[in-house]
Amino acid sequence: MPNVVVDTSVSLPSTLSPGGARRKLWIVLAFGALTYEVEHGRLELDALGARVNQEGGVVGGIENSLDRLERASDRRAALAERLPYGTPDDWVAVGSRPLFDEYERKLREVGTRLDPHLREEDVPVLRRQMEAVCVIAAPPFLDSAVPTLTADPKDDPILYTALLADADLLISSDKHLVPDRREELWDHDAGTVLALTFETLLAGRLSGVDWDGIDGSWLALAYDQPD
Amino acid sequence: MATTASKPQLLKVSEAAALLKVSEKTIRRWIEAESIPYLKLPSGSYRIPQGALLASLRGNYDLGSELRELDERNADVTDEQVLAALSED
Repeated sequence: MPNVVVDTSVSLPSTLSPGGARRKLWIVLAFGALTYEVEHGRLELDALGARVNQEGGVVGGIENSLDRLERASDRRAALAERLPYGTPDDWVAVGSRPLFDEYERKLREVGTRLDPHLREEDVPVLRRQMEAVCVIAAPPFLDSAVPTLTADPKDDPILYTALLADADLLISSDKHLVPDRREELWDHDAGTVLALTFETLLAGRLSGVDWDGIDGSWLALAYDQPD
Repeated sequence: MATTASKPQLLKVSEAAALLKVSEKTIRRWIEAESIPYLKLPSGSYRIPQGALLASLRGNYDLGSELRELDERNADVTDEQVLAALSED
């Protein structure tokens, strides 16, 4: 199960360009999120119950969560029916507050340069699209806890997210994260992660996927209940 | 530091609000509506499993409709245009 962190070079085109190549990767990650939820969601709820048994307290919201798991199973099946044979279902996107905040910051910058311009009311909506594809997140950390890792302080929280979450891959085209524009292994006390570009990913680990067989509009299937 | 489904990361209400950039009031509203799973500690404070909180966005918002509306408006936007706008930094 590759856990991946995607920076804005992937997350912005994925969410803003419905017909682009990166949207197709986004669909693979949404498929992975549903699979993870179906396979692990119940365990997470059971863990809450186990903690109450040990330490006391009350658990709530379980019934709605079980309904949600059932719907996730339906949505996963609807996507599985359409995705080409061999599309992986175990690629899971990892998030963090700084990663979501950076997405939002860049969204505001990029939004004024696009046609049509992004509206302010679109920003929280798009942030939710980013958050919803990340089914797991790094443990919360303070900005002051982020070590200096790269030549650009704005990149450090992104890399730190990947290291802290034990992510396998960080997909980025940032010159500070992937200096040779192919891949870079980052090894730190907090962990190890391979940073690589979207192009390197497609030419290597995901070279077997039939990308032409994936339609960007299918992302909505990850959210809707099938007929 | 990695968490697993059988040992989920539990967030305080303030941490959950910061993660999603919503108000603490919103998180408490979701707790009251039982629309997210939560643990109420003997002290009375709440803890929310991080993974389930993210997954529950799909139930607490109509993400499908939101996506369709955005995609309709951005139908002609390409990866290259977004990447070019990004590289203007």
